Amino acid sequence: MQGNEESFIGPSWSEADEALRSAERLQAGSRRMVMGQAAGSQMVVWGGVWALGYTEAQFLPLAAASVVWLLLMLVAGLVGALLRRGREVSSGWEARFGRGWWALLLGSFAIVAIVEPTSAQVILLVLGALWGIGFVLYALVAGDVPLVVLGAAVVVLAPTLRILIPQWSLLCFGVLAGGSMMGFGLWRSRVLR
Amino acid sequence: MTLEGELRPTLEQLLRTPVDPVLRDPVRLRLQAALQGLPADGWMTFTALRRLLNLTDGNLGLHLRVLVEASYVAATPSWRGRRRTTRYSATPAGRAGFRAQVAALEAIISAGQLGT
Repeated sequence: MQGNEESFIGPSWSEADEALRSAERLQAGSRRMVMGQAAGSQMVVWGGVWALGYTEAQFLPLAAASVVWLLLMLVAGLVGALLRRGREVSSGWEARFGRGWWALLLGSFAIVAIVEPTSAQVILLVLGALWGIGFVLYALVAGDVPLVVLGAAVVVLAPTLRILIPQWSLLCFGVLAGGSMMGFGLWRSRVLR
Repeated sequence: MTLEGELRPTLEQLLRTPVDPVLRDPVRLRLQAALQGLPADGWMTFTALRRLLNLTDGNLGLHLRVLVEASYVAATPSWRGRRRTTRYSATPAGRAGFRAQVAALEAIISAGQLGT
């Protein structure tokens, strides 16, 4: 710098460039760790619940299927709480997200009660689509594009299966949506660390 | 006045700004960057930071202490059963310091590109 060389003591151009690049990499790394935490192991657990819940709902009457669903959700809630205790990184808004998720779950049952779907199959597919919307909304807030895609796929899958293969829609929805959630969660847990 | 001519006074001003004494150390800048990448209420444990930055316990502990003493990083102890862990998060002062340091580094890079 003209006439100011003696007043500037700092890193060289290349050192500054390297420091900035390294800082950007680490910022991105910690963002990935937060995303992996939020939609990693928890998604594997809930994907399992979906796969089992929708599969048993295909074959059991609604009352029995509902009891199994409730038990599965309780187990998933407990496993999720244990997984959260051991976490090493936090976004700081997991508790708020959890409250929002429960609000969606309870709200979706209210919507189903108002709409009065004609069959158990329709009830469960409507619930699946509503919970898929929940994924999309959360992912949009978190800026998590892959999760937006997964949520949107779940939302689209429910009516598609209802139209194309109504008699096997619950089983297919459980396998495809639940399996995708588990696969997504495993990918997040392994890749984004 | 050319773009370079317009930028030169701003760059000169930025280059006169002293580099942050805490964050001029590359390890501490990387450490602050890792915490800066988290949301405002986010935190990371010592283990996660060590894995992300690939540092030894001693080195990481040393630099974390400097950042905590400068109030750039907050250390909050927590208990997991009988095990004590410490959660580290970037403070508002640390976030502001990091942004200033990034601006200073960008000025140095811009100056280099302009041949100042």
